Amino acid sequence: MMTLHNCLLLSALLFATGVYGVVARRNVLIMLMSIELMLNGVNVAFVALARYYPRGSDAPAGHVFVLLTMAVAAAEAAVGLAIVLAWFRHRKTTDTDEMRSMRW
Amino acid sequence: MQVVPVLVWVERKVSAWIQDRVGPNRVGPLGLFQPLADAIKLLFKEDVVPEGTDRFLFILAPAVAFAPAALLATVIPFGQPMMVDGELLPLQVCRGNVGVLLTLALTGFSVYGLAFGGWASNNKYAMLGGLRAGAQMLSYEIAMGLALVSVLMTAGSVDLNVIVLDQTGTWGGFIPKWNALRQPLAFVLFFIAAFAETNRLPFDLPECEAELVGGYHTEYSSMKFSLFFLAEYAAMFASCCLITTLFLGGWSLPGMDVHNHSPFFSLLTVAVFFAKVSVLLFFFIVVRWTLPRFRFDQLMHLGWKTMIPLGLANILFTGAMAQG
Amino acid sequence: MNLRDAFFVVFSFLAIFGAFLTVTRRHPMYSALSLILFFGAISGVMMVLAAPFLALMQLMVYAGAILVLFLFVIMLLSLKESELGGERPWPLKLLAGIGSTVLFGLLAAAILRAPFSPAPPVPGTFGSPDAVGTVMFSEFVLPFEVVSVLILAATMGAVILAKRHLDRPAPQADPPGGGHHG
Repeated sequence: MMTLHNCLLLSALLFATGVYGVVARRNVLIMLMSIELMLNGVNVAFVALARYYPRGSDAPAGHVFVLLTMAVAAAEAAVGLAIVLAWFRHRKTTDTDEMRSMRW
Repeated sequence: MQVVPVLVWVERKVSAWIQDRVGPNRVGPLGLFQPLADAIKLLFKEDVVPEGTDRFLFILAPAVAFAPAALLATVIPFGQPMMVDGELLPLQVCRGNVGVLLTLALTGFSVYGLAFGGWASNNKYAMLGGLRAGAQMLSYEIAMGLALVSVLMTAGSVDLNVIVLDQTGTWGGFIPKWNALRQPLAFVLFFIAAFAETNRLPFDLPECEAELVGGYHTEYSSMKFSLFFLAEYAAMFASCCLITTLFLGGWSLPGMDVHNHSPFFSLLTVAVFFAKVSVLLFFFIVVRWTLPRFRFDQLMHLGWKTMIPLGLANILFTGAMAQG
Repeated sequence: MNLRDAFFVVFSFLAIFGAFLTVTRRHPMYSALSLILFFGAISGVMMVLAAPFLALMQLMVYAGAILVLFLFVIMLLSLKESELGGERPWPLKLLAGIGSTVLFGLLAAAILRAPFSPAPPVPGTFGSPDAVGTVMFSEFVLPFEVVSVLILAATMGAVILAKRHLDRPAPQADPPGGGHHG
């Protein structure tokens, strides 16, 4: 059934799945994809709340935030993947546990 | 999709005409049944899934390549709404007020089939083809979107029906108010981007025979190959429909009565629509057999350093005109 | 249970399924494939929640652009088995699983405790491009401009990072946005 509770539960579940992906995996590409999962989980919450608590007639403020999230996600993916490419050229790996030279 | 065999036949005839050959003439009158014979031949060929490929993706890829083009055709309005039993019957398979956005989303999807096919084949030529497809689609979709934005600004809507109706007027009674004339730069940009998105020459780098054997479909055979083949022609047809709708007034004729909903008149508009599409398709084919192929870096230069700045400038200009 | 609820349930389960596949596949290519399913399902959920414009933007931006970028990088690297990196040992994975389950439990407890009102009826234009655009370019114009600056910065950062040689001018053959001849 489509209730606000269920929408938010779906959002929370997707977010938790993304957290699992970032924590449990070592492949940097899959970690980046898990971040996208988390962002999408939050987007679902935004859209659901915009639907259940519309301000006035048709002024969906939540929708604007989702659009901004998408733009930030695109920027994040571009920079993240560029870092992965640059790293892979030097070290021939996508394992995050081997990426130690960037920290002390 | 019944258009595809005819299209293949026209393509081969035109290429023969340009190269001063006869072209297919054995099967049926004027060789008209040649594509049918080819299809039967392909069906009976052995379906090979080479060793070392990723089976699941290898089988999935041709279907993924074909689906977006087929879906794209459903959002195009191809005729004046018809009055049947006192109700208006829209001549459009899938109605919606966000039609243009859906077409953009779908053209973005078409790259997956090529990329998956190239990757799953486990062959360096196929892989390079898939890579090129990815880079090319991503680059030219930006130019395509920018050209589209200026059209949307002119029409003030993202509904394809409204865009068609917006183009029904005339200047001085005979010059049609088509977006191709109101937005010539956007028209040219969109046209070039459409060539790139459908992987037609001069932009067929993902499959160029001279460098990559067959590109992303090198390892494919039998029906899976023909599905890729079909996808290319279906995409070409769909983009011609889209260009007609966005820039050439869709199903409208200059100065016609948009409130006439009689069945005869509706069918006439359908004929007008397909006549325009046919002209565009013919142009696509002639271009293929006339122009040489781009080099990949030239392709990227054209996309990023010429078309995208031009598209942005065009949007700025359109906005300034709308304000002033 | 009406049609809307049925669609919501189907798309939700597809989204959850896609998300689980994404985080559990060994090869990033299959994760990307699952991610397509996930993005499509999320787009469906948005459609059911009266956000048609966002549903299409979801397809265009995530499935049409971001994921193609991922796919492109995966193919460019064309990882061999040795380059995929190791997996964490299963006790750690189990711990991560328990941790994220606890996180979900906490969120769920908070969500279930809150009283929510049922959905009010919204006009048919709710979530249409016009409505979203009007709000975005009036009330939220400053965040919009800030995001455009962010994107400009990200573009420049990505180009600098992906370039091979910063010290000498790039050869003519180098396309912007990353070397294709990796």
